[in-house]
Amino acid sequence: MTTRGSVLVVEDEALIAMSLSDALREMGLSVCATADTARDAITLAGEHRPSVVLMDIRLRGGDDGVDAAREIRHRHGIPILFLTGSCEAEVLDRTKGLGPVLIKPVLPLQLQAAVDAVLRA
Amino acid sequence: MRTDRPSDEQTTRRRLTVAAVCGCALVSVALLPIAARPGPEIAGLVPFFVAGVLVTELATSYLLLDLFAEARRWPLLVLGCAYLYSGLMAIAHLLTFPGAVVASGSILGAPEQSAAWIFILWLTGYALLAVTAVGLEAFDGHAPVAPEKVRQSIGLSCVAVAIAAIAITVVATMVPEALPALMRDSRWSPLNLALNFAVVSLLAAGIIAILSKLRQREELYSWLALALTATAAANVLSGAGGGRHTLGWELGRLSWVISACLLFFYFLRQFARQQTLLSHANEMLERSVAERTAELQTSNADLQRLVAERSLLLREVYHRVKNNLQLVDSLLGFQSARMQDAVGKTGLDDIRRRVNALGLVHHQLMQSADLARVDMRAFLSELCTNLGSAAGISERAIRITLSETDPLPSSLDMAVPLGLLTTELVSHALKHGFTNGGTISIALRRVSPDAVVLTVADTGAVEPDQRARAASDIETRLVTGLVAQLRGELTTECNGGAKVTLRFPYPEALL
Repeated sequence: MTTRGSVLVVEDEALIAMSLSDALREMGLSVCATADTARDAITLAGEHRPSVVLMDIRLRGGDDGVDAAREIRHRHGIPILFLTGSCEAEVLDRTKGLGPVLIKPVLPLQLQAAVDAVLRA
Repeated sequence: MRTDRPSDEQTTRRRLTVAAVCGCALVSVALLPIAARPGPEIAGLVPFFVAGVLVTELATSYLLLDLFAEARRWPLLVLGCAYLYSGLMAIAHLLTFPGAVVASGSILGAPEQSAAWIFILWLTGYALLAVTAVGLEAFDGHAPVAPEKVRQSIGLSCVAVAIAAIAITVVATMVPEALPALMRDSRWSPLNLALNFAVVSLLAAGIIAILSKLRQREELYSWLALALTATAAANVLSGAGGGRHTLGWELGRLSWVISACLLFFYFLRQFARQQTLLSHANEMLERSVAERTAELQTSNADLQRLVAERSLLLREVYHRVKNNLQLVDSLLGFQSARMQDAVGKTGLDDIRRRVNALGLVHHQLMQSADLARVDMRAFLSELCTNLGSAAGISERAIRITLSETDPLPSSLDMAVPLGLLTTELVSHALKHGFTNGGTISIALRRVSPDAVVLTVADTGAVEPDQRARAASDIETRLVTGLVAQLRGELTTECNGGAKVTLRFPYPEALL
């Protein structure tokens, strides 16, 4: 089956990661892998080279999604779409220049619109 | 409050006073053998003597009367009068003393006897008043003067003293021949010596009364004892001199100037002490203010830290609430994806929209400065975008607009039911109101300080009755419940579409 692109889902809540994966597949995208730590995210991004990384900001063990995203962008140039429940100004400031931010809870159609925008860019 | 037991300071002061009184008396006695010798010719001695006594005794009188106005004790008024009388009589003495101002005779042209009578009555009056003050203080049974009578008492006393001084001067100057002679061939007459002895005795009685009865009282009376001693010494030396311009007479003048200066010196000393105390009190106050300021700064820093911790905690709570809402949404999403029944699937999607609305409220709370207020305009704007996106309005040619909406601050208690109600009304219009495109207009206005109106109007072509029939039971119950929670009134109009208006009171806590 041909897909519109592949997505690496980085999310430390397993159920949310599964739900996002389902929603992305329904949008015609493939989910190449899921990760719940910054280290795994960087490794899997290098292995799979996805079209986009859907990145949570607070990761397991206190890992920081913004630092992981910056590393992935720096090493592999893969576009990032942040998905976070945090909307503090200082957190959002740190994401500037790395990728757009979606605020939880997010509806499937909102997710689709955001992913499409990143893929088109 | 006075106590019978003297303090160390009082004991020391009394000892010093006794020593000074005894020393002065001894010096006077030691000078007696040479008192009758002719004194040196000192030009301007009388004007110098009068000027010294006049300035210091009038100043002392003013300070004593001021003290009386504050303490309202009769002895202070009498003592103030004694010094006022002495100052005024000093002027009379200058005007009547032969050769004091003009080369021959006196300014008033008074004979020698006039000056002698004025001088002896000056002494007598001062001694009487001063010793009366001591007696009143020793008796200590008098009530303080009523505050409203203080000024009147001072005024009347000053007038009485001035009248007495003028009367004495007039009588002594105008009718000296009617008075017994106090001078015989430039020597004191026996009457003069007798009066002088009586005055010295009166002064001695005052000194003894102070040292025996008032030894534990105010420092003022210790200094008065010294002043009375110096005056008595002046009289003893003058009397022993036998006449004017003897060594005893000149030393007596000097002793009286010293006597006049003593109470004035007491007040200067008090002033210096008060300045020192004031300076110490100021230092203590500044130190206390600095300490209090430091405490407040520390307290302020602690409060700021607590506020920062509270904000951090609240943000963490809101973050977890939103994450959990996303989790609930994921679970509903799983269930919806695997559900074959279209009605059930629609119901789950409705629940997901409501959960999304709840998440948006927390999103707005996290963005507010105080973590307690929701900006309803920003909230409704985001809610409309999400509802429209979820319903695919761009494909259905439907537009959602937010008009006439004020940036209304709201609490969580108001934002949650209002957000859910807006979700229901807009979702209802999107699901049941349109056949082929149109517009939904949302407005939220504060129509008065205590009333808010929410309007959801659409241009959908479906008839209201048909919409009502299509609405599910749960939608109707939710709307009814949320309107009741907001204490509002819901009205519906149909005029080429539908218009739902909710009027509800603005919470008092937000006013």
